[in-house]
Amino acid sequence: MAFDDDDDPHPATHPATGNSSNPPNDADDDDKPQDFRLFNSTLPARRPQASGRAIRRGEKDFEAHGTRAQEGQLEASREAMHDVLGYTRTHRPPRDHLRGWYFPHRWAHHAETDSGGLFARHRVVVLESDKGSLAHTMGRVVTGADRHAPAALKTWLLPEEALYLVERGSLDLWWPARDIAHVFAGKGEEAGEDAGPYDEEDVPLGVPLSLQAAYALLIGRPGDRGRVPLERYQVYANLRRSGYKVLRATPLSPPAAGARSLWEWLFALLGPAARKSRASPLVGPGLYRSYAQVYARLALVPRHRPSAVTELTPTAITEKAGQEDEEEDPFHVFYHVWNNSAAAASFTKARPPPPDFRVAVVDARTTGPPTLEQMRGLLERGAVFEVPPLNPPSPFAAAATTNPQSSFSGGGAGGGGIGAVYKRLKHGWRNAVVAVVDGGLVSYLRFGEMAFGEERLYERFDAVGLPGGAG
Amino acid sequence: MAAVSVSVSGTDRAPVRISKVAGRYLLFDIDDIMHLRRHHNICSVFVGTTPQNPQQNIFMGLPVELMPEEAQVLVDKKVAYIFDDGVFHPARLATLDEPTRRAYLQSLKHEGKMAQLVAEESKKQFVPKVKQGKKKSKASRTEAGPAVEDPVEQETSTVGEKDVEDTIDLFDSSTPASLTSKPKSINNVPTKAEPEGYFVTPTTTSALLLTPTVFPHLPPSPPAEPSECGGLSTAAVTPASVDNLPASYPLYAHLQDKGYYMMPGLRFGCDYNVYPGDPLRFHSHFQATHVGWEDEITMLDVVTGGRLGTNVKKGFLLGGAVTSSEPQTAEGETAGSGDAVRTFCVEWAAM
Repeated sequence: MAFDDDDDPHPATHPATGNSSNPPNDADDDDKPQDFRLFNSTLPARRPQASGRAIRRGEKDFEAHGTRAQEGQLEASREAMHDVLGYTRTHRPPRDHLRGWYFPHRWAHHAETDSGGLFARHRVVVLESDKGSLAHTMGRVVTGADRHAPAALKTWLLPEEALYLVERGSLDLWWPARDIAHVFAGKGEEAGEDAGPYDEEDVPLGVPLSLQAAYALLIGRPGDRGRVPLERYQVYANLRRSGYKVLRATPLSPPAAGARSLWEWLFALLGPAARKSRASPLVGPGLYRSYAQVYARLALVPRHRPSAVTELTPTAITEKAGQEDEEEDPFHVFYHVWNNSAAAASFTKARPPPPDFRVAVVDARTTGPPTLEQMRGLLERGAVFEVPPLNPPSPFAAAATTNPQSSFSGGGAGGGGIGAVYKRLKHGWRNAVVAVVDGGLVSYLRFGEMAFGEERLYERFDAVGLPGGAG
Repeated sequence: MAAVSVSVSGTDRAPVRISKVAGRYLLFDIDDIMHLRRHHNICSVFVGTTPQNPQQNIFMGLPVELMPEEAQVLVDKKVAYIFDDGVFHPARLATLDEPTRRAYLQSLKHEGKMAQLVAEESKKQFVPKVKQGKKKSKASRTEAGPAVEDPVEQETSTVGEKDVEDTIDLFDSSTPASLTSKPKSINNVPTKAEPEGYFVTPTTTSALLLTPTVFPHLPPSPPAEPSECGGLSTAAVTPASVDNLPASYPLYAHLQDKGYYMMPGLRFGCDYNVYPGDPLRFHSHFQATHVGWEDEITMLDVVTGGRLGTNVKKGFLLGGAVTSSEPQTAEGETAGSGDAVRTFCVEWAAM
C-alpha cells in the first residue's frame, strides 16, 4: 500500500457534480440536505426546463423571515425533491432487464468448504443471467454443489448486493411462487426473453418485488442468515456509489508461528533481566562511545512492538467459529474495499488481490468508542475474523520482513528526515477503517497501530555527532 | 404513485405507515415523506440510492430512515403507525394466490406500458429541444418520464469506473438524445410497433396491500393494514411504543414540539443537529446534546462542545428532562409541553 492510501476513504470526487455545477462546499454547515432543484436540473430530461431559469446553488437562509419569496423558494425545492424522488424504476425489456429470484433457503445448509469468501449460506438471490458487467464485482457461482441441480451454475448474490442492485434500478427482483426447479425449468438462456413483460407464463412463477419488499426481505439483525444489518448495507451502498469495489472480508487462515516471535520472546526475556541485576545508577560509570548505548540503558519502560497476529489455540478458533452468526463484537473487519484503480482490470472476485482498506461497521446508537480489548480484537487478534496484516511504513518494510532486529544496528531507525518519522507514525503498522453509522449518516474513522518505540530518535544524535568525531 | 396531489391538508390524511424492518423505521412513500416534511417538521435522512444517478452520494433517495425518536413522536401524535414489514412481507407473499398475482401483474403491466409511452413521448420532445422544450416539459413531469435513458446506458457499462464516466457524459449531455439512442436502435429486437411496456420495480408494496383479502398469518399488531383500505380513523390507531428509544428522547420530543427540524448529530458530535426550519432552506442553529438532569457535566465537555459549535456557527445546546421535585420556576422553556425539559445554550466566547 502506498502512503497515499491513508487518506480517508471518502471519495475525493463526486462524479455527479464533478463538473461545473459543483455546489459550494459550505464549510460552516453540513453539506447534507442539498438543493434538489439543482440535481433535478442536471437530469437529462429536465434540461430543456432547467435551462430557462438560473440554477440556484444550494444556498440557505439563517431563519424564516416570513416573506413570500422565501416560502416560494422552499416550496420549489420541495417540489423538485418530490419530482426526483417520485421516480419509478423501470426496466426496458430485452437488454436492461436483469431478473433475480429470491430463494432464501437454497444454500441454507451448504457447508462452507473452501475459505474463499463464498458465504454460500448467505446467498439468497439468483440471477437469471449475468449479462452486463455487474457480475464483475458481485455475486458468485456456488462451487462444490451438484452441477445438475436447478440453477446450480447461476450467479448468486449476497443480500447487500441484491438490495443495492434493486435500489439503483438494475435488478428486477421477483418472489417465486414455485420452487426453484419450476422457475428455472423452461428457461434456456434465451427462452422467455422474447415475450413481453408480465406475460401469461409469468403468472404461475411469482410476483415482482417492490423496493420496500426488498428491504423487508433482505435487511435483518446481526447474525440473521441471508440478511444484512441495515448499517452494514448502508456502508456497502455508500462505498459502491463512490466507485469502490467491496467484498465481504474473508476470515484469515491462522498464520504459522514463525521463528520471529520466538526471537522476540528471547530478547524480551534477556533485556529487562540484564538491567534488573544492575544497581543504581541506571547509567553507570564507564566508556560510552555513542548515545545509543546510553539511551538503551535508559529505556526502562517496555514499548509496544507491532507483531504478527496473535494466534488463538486451535480449539479456541473452532469454538469461536461456531458462534460466527451470533451477535458478536461489531469491531471486526467486515468488508474488504478496493480502489477503483488501474489494477481494476486484473481484479477477480474469486481471488481478489489484497484489499486497499479493511472496513468494520458499527452503529453509533448502540456502540461506544472501542475499548482497548476491542481495538486489539480489531487489529491484532485474528480468530474467526480477518485482521489487517502487518503493513509497516515503507522504510521499515524491507527490514521488518528480513530481519526484525536490523534496526538496532543501523544508524537512524527508518532513515529519512524527521518529517519521514511523522509520516511513518501516521501510517502506522497496520490499520482498519471503522465506519460509524448514525441514523443513515456514515462517517469513516481510520484506526492505525502506531509504534513510537520503533522510532529511535537518539540514533540520530550519533549520526549527527559522527562526522565531527571521526574527522 | 406521484399522482396524488400534494395539497392534501395535514388533518384529513390517513395515518402514515412506518415500515419497521429489523428494528429500524423506514418510509418508502414519497407522498408520506413530503407530508411529514410539510406538516410535522420531520425530515430525517434519505438513505437510498437515487436510481436516476446511482454513482453519487450527495443526492440520496428513498427510503427515509427515521430515528426511533421520530417514529415515537409520530405515533404519539397519531399521524403514523408502525407496521412490522420484516414479518409481514414474507407472510403476505407466501400466501398470495394466483388471481391476486395475476391482478398484480396486470396492474404492473399497465404501469409498464404507461412508462414506455411516457418515455417515448419525452424522447420525441427531447430531440427538437430548441423549440418545443419549454412547452411540453410539463408533460414529462409524470413519474417515469425523467431518466429512462439512464438505465440503458449505465447498465451496459461497468459498475465501477466506466459508470462514472458515463454519468458524467450524461450530465454534459448536450449531445441530443437521438445520438445516444442510436446504438440502442441497432440492437433492439422489437420495433416499436406496439408498446410492450417495461418491467417495473414499484417503490412501495401498496398495490399488494390494497387487495382486500384477509390473511390470518399477520403479526398481532392492532393498527394493521385496514387503515390502508381507508377503513380506520385516525383515532383508532393505538399508539404502539417504539423500542430502542434513546435516553435523549425527552429532549428530542421537546424540540420537535417547538417546531424544530432535527437530523442525527453524528457529524457535529452531538445527539441532534437542530434546524429552525426545513433543512432544504435553512442552516442549523444548534447542536443539541442530551444530559441527564442529575448528571455531572465535565467542564472539558462544555468547552469542547462550545468551541466546536462556535466554529461551525452553531450554538452548543445542552438539555434534558427535569426530574423529581425541581422547583419549576416560571421559565419559557417548560411552558409549552407537558414534560418539563430545560435547555441551555453555550457559546465559546474567547481564549
